Parts: sequence; C-alpha cells; structure tokens
Amino acid sequence: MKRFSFGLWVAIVSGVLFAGNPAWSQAERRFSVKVTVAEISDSAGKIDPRAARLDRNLRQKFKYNSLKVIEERRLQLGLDEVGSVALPGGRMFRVQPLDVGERGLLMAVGWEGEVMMDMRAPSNHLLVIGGPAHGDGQLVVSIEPHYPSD
Amino acid sequence: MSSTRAESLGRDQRDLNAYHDGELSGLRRRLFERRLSRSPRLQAELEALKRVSECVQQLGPQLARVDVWDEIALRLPAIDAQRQPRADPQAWRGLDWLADYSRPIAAIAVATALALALFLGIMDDGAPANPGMIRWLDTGGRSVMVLEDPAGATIVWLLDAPEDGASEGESREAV
Repeated sequence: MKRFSFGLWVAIVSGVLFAGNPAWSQAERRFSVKVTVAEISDSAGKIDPRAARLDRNLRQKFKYNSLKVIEERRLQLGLDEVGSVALPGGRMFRVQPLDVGERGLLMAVGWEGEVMMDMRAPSNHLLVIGGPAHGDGQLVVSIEPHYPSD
Repeated sequence: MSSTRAESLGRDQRDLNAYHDGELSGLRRRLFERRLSRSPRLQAELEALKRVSECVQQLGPQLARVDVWDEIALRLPAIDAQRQPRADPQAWRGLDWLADYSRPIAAIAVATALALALFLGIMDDGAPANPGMIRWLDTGGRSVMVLEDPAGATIVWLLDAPEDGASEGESREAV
C-alpha cells in the first residue's frame, strides 16, 4: 500500500479546516448595508415607493397614512468599520459590522440617546428601529445588510 | 536554621490571620498577644491586615450589585466576535510524542471533519429558525417592543420617551 507523506496529510487537514472556517479572509470582506431614514405619520400623504419593503412590514403591525423617506444611503463597510447616516435633529445613526458567520452578520447599530444594539442578521434581513417622535409622526430607520454568502 | 525560621514565620502568619479573624482563643490567644506585643513586625502586619479588611468591606456593596454580571454577560458575544483566536506555541511543548502518531491522527481528523461536514449538510435545511437575533440592547431606560417577522424582518419599537435622570448603567435590557 502506498504511503502518504506527512506534508500531504497536513495539506488535506488544513484544506478541510480552512474550508469550514474561512476566518482568515473575513477581515477583507465588504458588506453593503442599506440604511433608510423615514417618517411615518397619520397625516394624509403618500407611501414613498423607495420604502416599499419597509412599508409592507410596518403596515402589518402599525397604522399610518403616509411614509416619507428622509434619507437613503447604501454603505460599503468592512468588519469593524463604522458607517454613519445623519438623522433629523443633528444626531448620527451608526452601523458597525462586527462579525460574520453562518447565522448572519453581527452588527452594532443605533444612535446615542435613543437606542444602541448588537444584532445578528442574515443577508437581506430587514431590521427596523422606530418609535421616536419626529414632526407630527414617528421616526423609522431600516437597516438591510447585503453580502454574498460563503 | 533557615527551615526553623521559615516554620516560625509560617506559624506567625497563621496565628496572625487567626487572631485577626477572632479564631484564636484561650492559651493560644494569650501566647500570641505576648508575641505580638514584643514584635513590631507582627504589629505592622496586623495593621496592614486590618487596612485590607476595611478596604474589602468598603467594596462590599459594589460587589453585591446584582446587575454587574448581567451587564458584562450581555456584552460578551460582541467582544468574543471581535477577538481573533491566537495559537499558543507554548501549548505544544511536551507533545513531541504526537509526531509518532501524526499520520493516524491526521487520518482520523480528516474522517471526523468529513463526517461532520456531511452531518451538518444533512441537518441544515437552509433556513435558520430565528433569522434576526438581538444580542444586546440598550434603550436608555425606554420601554421597547421587539417584533419578529418570519418573512425576514425584525422591528424594534421604542414605546415612550426617556425617563429624566435615567443613566446608562441602569437601563440595559436583554432580549
């Protein structure tokens, strides 16, 4: 029986382990995070078509007559990189990818004085943070991470 | 001689701790108090022991805060995620004998890895049970409602205005 060399065994084991745990390349990965800042209100108005997905999800839970997009940004972020989007009132919404794994992208999101959170979400998951009063309605921020799976 | 002196110092230390804790009684207590009155070193050590004891007692109420660990535990996943694993070369010292068994071990490792990969491949139906997972949440004292939609959405809704004087340390919530 032909004997395998030790180097070949090391190569096979390394290949299997690296294939299952590609952590060495995660630091260079980029993640697209779409951030939409909007206002919902009981006042008569339109539903902004740019926030159609947000509207579909919110409408199942809350009653409102108008949805206005205030700001829409698509951030390209690496791990530990902080992206910011200006909110009404001079505050800054921040999002920071921390880790990516089989169960999604772990992100630190929020804005100081209101809410800060760490959340793991798979690609294309919609995270909505809302409730603070704004104008005659309420402020809503949606976050959607998009990235190719491994 | 040096061993006798070391034994004496060790006995002094034990008696000093026992005396400080009120555990010496009767003849042993009187004998130790006589030694204490003649030894400036023992007196200084007893004073130092009392100071340490007072410091610990002053820290007591802080140690007893029940929410300290909760605050730390809620932050651990994010900290773990940021930490990169590092190999410790010292850990492999003394394991040279493994070289003799490297081939069988490598074969077992490969077989185990393949079996695990196949098992996980079979078990994974491609759709996580809980797509969005909140690991840590700080609302600054506000009430919050979390709504999970199986279609792939998580809604975090802040319900009321922040309370006046609510500090950051008092307002952590886990979901």
